[in-house]
Amino acid sequence: MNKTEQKTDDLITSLSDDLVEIKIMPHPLKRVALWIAITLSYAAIILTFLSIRPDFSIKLNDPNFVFELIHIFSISISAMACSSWLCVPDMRGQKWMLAVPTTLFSGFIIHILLRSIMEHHELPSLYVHHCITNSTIFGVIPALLIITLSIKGKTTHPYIMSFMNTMAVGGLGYLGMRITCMADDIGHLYAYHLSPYILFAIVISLVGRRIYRW
Amino acid sequence: MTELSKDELWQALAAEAQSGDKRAYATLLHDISPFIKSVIAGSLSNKDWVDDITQDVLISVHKSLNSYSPERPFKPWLKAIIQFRRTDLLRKHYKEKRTKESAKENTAIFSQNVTFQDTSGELKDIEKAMDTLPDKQKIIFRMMKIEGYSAKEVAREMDMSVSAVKVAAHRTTNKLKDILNNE
Repeated sequence: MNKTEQKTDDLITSLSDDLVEIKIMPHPLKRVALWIAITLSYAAIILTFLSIRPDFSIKLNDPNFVFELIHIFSISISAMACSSWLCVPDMRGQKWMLAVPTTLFSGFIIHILLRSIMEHHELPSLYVHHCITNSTIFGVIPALLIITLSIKGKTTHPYIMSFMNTMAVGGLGYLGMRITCMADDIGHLYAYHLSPYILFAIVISLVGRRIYRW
Repeated sequence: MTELSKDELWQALAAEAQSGDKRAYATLLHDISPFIKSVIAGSLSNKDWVDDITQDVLISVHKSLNSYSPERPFKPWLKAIIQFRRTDLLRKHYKEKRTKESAKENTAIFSQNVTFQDTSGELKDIEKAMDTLPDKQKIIFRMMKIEGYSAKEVAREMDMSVSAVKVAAHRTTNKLKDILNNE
């Protein structure tokens, strides 16, 4: 037996000695359910504080608006599901799932790009608008929760995990803002609704590998 | 033993290990070690790396055993960890390569790349000649000709165009030739 084989054998002995009964990680679906339950309750509380936009019932007759809400909600939920499955090294064989939020998100990007081209709106000046604060409030607890759940997992794709986390949190926050803020101007949406999540995306992509290391 | 039955055996051993059976766990780890090595050896030629990654994977299996579902096959779960640790090691290696010392300071590179090692005076002369060059040229020459980076990588590092890097490296080589010929 050579030195390396001896080292591997020693390691195996030491790992086996350290073994204690293990509590198996809950099924990813249960983790998603937990996140959805907590974040939706949180969003409902925030909505009562910020109040729903006065024209909400009128806007519900606009198919574009309804489609946008369903679209964003689907991005958020599917991205959360992916984050949860990503906590398992092989994603339990469900890698195809990643295509769902990614495709939906691509659709969202195309949608807002087309809107910005067709509506010819300029970006408003950036300052701490109350919408930035509200948008951040919508995202903070879901973000903390999803990061905690992801850290507890064992991902083998930290960057994809960061991307999914951002879409899950950003989607939910953006949805909340579309329900509370009356502004439909694309410049306003970019500058004040999406900017906190763009910042979140930058930060988490920079630190993702470090925080999801195991 | 067929591949399928091996996977089933590992699945059963992992399930027993999760319930705290140390003997089953040791058997599992012993059993998967050659498999891990064979998977890694297929894509990496450096034997030290194969052993390092194997040990890393065993530690990772230990850390993430709670994420394994006993109803699912064991092999895909293990392969995902192997792939992750292999990528991790390669990333770390290439990151270190960027900050690696010069060939003169690195005896491994020196012994592999200098044909006549007894004539290290020549290398010393080159180093001396390089000291006369402007810093930018020195860095480009060192990165491209000694450390083996491509022109594209150097261009990215130096924030220059690829062609500018190639020209600088060519000029520096000619300049060094002139200096060394005149000595």
